[in-house]
Amino acid sequence: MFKNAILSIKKSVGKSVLLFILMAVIANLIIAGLSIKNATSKSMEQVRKSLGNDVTLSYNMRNIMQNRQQGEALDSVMKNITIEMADRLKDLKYVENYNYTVNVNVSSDDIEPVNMQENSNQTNDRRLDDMPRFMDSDDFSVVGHTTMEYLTNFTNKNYVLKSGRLLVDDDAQTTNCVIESNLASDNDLKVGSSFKVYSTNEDNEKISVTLKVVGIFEIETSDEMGGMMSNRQSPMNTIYTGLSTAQKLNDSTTTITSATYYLDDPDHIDDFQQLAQDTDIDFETYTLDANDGVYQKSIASLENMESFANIFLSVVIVAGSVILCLILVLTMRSRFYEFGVMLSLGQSKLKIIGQQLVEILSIALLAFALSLTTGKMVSNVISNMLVTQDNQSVVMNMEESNDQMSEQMNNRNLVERMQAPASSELDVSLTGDTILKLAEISFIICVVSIILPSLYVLRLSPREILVKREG
Amino acid sequence: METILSFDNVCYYYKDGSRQVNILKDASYHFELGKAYAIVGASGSGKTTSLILAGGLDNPKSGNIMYKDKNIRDIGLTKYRKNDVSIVFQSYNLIHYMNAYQNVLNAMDISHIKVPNKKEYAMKILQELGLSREECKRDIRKLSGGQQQRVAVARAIAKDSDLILCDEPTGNLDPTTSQGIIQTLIDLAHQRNKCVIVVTHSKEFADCLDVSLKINQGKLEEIF
Repeated sequence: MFKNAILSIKKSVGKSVLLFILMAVIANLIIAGLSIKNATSKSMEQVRKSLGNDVTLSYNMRNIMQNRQQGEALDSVMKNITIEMADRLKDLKYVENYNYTVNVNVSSDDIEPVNMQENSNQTNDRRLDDMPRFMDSDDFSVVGHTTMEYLTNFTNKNYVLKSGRLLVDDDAQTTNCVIESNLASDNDLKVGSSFKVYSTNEDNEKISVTLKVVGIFEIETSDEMGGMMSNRQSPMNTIYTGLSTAQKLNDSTTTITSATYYLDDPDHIDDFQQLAQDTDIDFETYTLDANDGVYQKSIASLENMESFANIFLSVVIVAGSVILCLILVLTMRSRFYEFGVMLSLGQSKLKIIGQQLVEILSIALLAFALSLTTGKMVSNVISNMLVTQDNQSVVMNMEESNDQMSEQMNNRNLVERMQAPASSELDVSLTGDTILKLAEISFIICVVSIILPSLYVLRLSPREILVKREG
Repeated sequence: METILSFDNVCYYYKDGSRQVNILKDASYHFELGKAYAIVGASGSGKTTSLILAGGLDNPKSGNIMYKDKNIRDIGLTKYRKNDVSIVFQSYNLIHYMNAYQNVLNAMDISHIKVPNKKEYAMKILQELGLSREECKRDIRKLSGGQQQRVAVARAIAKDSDLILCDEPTGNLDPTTSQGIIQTLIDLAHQRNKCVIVVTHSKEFADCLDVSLKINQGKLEEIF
């Protein structure tokens, strides 16, 4: 079988070369499709991972806004998250750590907020436009955390500690705080300085707390500093404290603003959300957000590429098989006679098909080897083409949306899009998985291309085959 | 003499539109080892069909073909063709991408012929039939008709089956080459105790063999 296959390949050089070229082209295109598919999947995974393994329990603002009666105050319909409710989720499977957050607006007679309007032209980070600002009586935002260890802005190095330290578990019952460097310099605050802040409860009673600075951070990058921002909304006027201090200022020790759960693996986000759904928490009022909106936006272009890769692969496989089948059917006419002779000599049909398979697989093996060296090149060309097209479409979309949206919204959109790896480049390197998949697909194409035409001939009796040949 | 092949009430027909054309109708005959048979008759009389059925290349519509008292259907047609019968065709039916020597070796490989030195054995048979070593390794398409027919006969001999079937083996050959092939086939029957069945148009050829048969109204009959 093997001997005959080699003899046949050597004798029909023209046909063998034609098949080799065709199979090399098919293999290269399959590699390109598989590499792009793999690269997009990997990039999507990276995006998911870059968005973190955290899930946040907070108010379902969309539902609250939709269900609110006209003229009804937002505060009256918003139900606070209770610590008891948040604790129910922290004990669920996959949760490694958690962080509860309390946001409270405060004012101070001791310090002045960093004025956003004054700072608008100083640095890019302190940009501001001419848009009107919300009127706000409170100048600062106190954000109390269980721990600052997992705060994304610090872990991502968007905020960098300049002096002192961040808050740790031991600060839970203290009035220690961490502030931004501009706020510190504007008010001559250093590590060790103290200042008083106050909030007002529902009964209009003043709740005062004296905070002690233990750390000062600097904002390296931030996309939160858009135009319509009050002093309080600026990250420069945000004061980080322990949870108990914020709760005290909020006049509630049983409620929090949000709870963030850090899971063992981003892949478990869906499973965790499912487990949470099984608790008695009302997810009409509250929501578990895993940055899904940002994720969906970030992967939109990757999904387009993946779907292109899928279609491309299907077309290559189907068209490749059809073309290969047609070539083999055409060459099969000249092998009609050989099949008849082999059958008349007592060769089994299975072995005859086996010989054809060995022939095509031997050629495929050579094409496969070649494609391992040229495949990456083809993959790069196609992926670069896709990335260029994608970036062009991003620019076009931005131009179109300019008429309808503010420039700031576009900027934010661009920032979000730029976070997606697809917008820069795709890593289309050949992996073991891709090679295995290529081998698998090539094998299937070869088997289908051989078996179909062979069965067409071998369904006949040896007599019929020989008579056809005589005819 | 030992019977090697029997036709027992064999029928074969084909459909020509709505018309049924009978080729063999209850044909019965016993072929023996050590004899060379000729089947003669006009074109379309059923000579080649008889040979095809005897060679297990097709099934009779009814009746049985027995090889050494076993129905070839029970043996299995592929196994029967592989182990028990050799067929020499008028058009030689050699494989084009193999040379003469490789064609003979291929047939031996398929039949799993076990001889001490297979390659030398194949070469020896070819040389005994008058092909030189160089001709044995030449592209098969570059051999003359007579040489190709001798390769086909060599392939049949190399399979070492007891039953050798030949369809017009001298049809395309000149008289001298034909004579050589005829003598080889007769020797196979008489000296190596094979049963040789030859389909031929040639009365001279048929006269050289032990028994002549004709197909009369679908039946195999001896000509005396």
